Amino acid sequence: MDTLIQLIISGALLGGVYALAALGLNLIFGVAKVINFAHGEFLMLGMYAGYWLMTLTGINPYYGAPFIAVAFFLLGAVFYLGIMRFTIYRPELTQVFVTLGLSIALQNLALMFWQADYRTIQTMPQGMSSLQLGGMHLPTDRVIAFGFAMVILIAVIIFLRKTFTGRAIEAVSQDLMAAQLMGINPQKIFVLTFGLGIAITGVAGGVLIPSFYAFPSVGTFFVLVAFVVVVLGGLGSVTGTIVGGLGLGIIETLGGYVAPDLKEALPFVLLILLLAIRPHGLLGIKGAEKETLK
Amino acid sequence: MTLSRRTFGKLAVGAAATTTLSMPFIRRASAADAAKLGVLLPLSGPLASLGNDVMRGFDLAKQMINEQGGVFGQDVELAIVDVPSSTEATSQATRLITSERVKVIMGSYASSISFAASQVAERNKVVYFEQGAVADDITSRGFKYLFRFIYPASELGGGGAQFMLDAVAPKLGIPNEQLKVALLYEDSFYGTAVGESARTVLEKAGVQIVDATSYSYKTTDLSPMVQRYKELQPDVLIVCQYTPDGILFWRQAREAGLSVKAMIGNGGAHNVNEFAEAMGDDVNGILNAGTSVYINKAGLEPETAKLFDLFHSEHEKRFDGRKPSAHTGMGFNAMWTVLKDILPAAGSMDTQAIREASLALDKPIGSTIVGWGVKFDPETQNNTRAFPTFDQWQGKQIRTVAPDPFGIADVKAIPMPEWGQRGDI
Repeated sequence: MDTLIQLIISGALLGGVYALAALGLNLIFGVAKVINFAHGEFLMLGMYAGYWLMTLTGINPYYGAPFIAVAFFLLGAVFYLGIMRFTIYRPELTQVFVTLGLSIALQNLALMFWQADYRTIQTMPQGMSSLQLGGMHLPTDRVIAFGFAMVILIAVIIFLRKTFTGRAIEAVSQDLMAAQLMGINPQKIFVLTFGLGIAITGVAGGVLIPSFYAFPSVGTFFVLVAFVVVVLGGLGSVTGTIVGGLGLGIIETLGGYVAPDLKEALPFVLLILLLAIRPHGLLGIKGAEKETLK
Repeated sequence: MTLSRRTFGKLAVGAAATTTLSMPFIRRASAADAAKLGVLLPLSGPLASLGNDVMRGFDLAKQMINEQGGVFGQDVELAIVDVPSSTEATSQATRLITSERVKVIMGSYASSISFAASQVAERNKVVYFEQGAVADDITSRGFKYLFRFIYPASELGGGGAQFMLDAVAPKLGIPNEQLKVALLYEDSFYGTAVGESARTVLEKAGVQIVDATSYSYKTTDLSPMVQRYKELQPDVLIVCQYTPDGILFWRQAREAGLSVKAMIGNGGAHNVNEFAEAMGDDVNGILNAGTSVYINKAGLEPETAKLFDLFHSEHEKRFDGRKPSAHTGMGFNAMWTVLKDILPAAGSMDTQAIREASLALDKPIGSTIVGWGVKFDPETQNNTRAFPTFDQWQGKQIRTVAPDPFGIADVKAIPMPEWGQRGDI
């Protein structure tokens, strides 16, 4: 029984990280209908940001998260204004190739500047690496990352539902034409969405680095999982991302305990099953998977 | 933003100048019979870290040989291709052979890459020197142009297991029949081969194998495995991991407070500095079977001992104070032997002559910087004088503990103290 509880807790902690890593991808898809194949590389950049922040200035990435958020918001805005703006009403294939190309370019730039070494940091002093709670071990860094994930996810939900700007974003995501007729400038919304999506991804990378490691192609380890989480939870649904992330984390951990050899296959089996039964995901809006901007 | 032609021109000139300035060692080859060698390594992608370590070894040997006058009186030239994973191995090997026209390929550290690339070389009768890929199958295909410097996985995994039985188990005072061992390995060629050979040795010794599990090194979480071991409570954990999964596993083991009496890695993560940096003091006490460039040089021949020192000092000098890893040492060793012994003996870049010179090579144990000798088996063309060394992390340094005469320290702290209390080892 203890083992089961420990596994579920570990799974949930992992799931929180998955959700955070996937949120930016889903946000950008939900609003601009762009599938960002360079998502993993932005996560990689976030990890390096956390790493360099700690190594060069001694600022722990947990405290440095606001800086990373601001920097990555700007990066996201530049990403949109400099590249994606030109592809936004183009066929999906154009966007796929543009983001895929960017992904390869970013990986190789990282390799050029920072070499292939695995870089990681220790934020917790020796012996503080896990919290003990009634026989359970909770890895401190993952608990903090989970905390970040939950706070950010809830903040995003509140922002989208309760603020004027947030509702404007929602409006664009639901119906671009109608939103424009209501006087919403979609370009501004897109800049904001890309900024927000990339900022969240950067912070996700920053809080992941203490329990993980950065190297130029680390993004590829996460990007597939992020896609599974997004599709599982529902395209364009923030709540779905939480459910998808947590669900996937717990299932993967339990599955990995019972049949370790099949651990990596589980998410994809799940994905195939779900796509067959509910193509729009657990909490997604029906038809969201067919939507493109026109 | 649009680039004017003038700005673009300036940028291009600037970029070209930077590249030229940053690579002062690369010169153009001129004559037809210059020693031009192909290098095939994972230099980007998840395996890039150790791939680049090997590359530094290749590069250092090449630079040092060229400073001594090169081979055939000309500078050695390397044609380098990047092979992130086995998928690209065939096409890049073909490119080296058909468009770069190399007669010798030096590869490739990852077993799955080596397996695919050496096939192309064999078909084209190009000599393939494998410096660090261990999977047994690589040399069991009867290839005539493939030579391997390193010992096969069966000797690594089996050797590691035997070392555990000989040097670790007696310290634990547990008889073999009661000794509980868990095996964990990544599921590509390398891990599987090492894991299975360890298993064979352990089964023969009558040890209880409580678990044998494989996983993909690209995983983002290994906590379920850690949890399994918390349940099964093995005395000894034997693992075979690449660097990313190695760091992940040991960190998660620490976070979950998984305590075992001894831990043994088999190369990969467990003898690189990044592993020590990721683990801090908690790296101390972990044992490793593999290759080391921190062996006791008293076991080396006097000439080789000099080269050993030169290798260390030149490496730090040329690569920004960086300390060499075992993989760099193996890469250096292979390139040095090929350029210093094999090619001069062959007298030309004729592949038949190179093959015969390789088979005729006879260097005793202690004549290379990693302690090995070189004598290729006429059948398998494996180096029969390569052997794994056994190390332990002590004071955050990897220190060789066996075999004699290469050991510089004794095995300490078995059974291991708890996590967080390993600073003194």
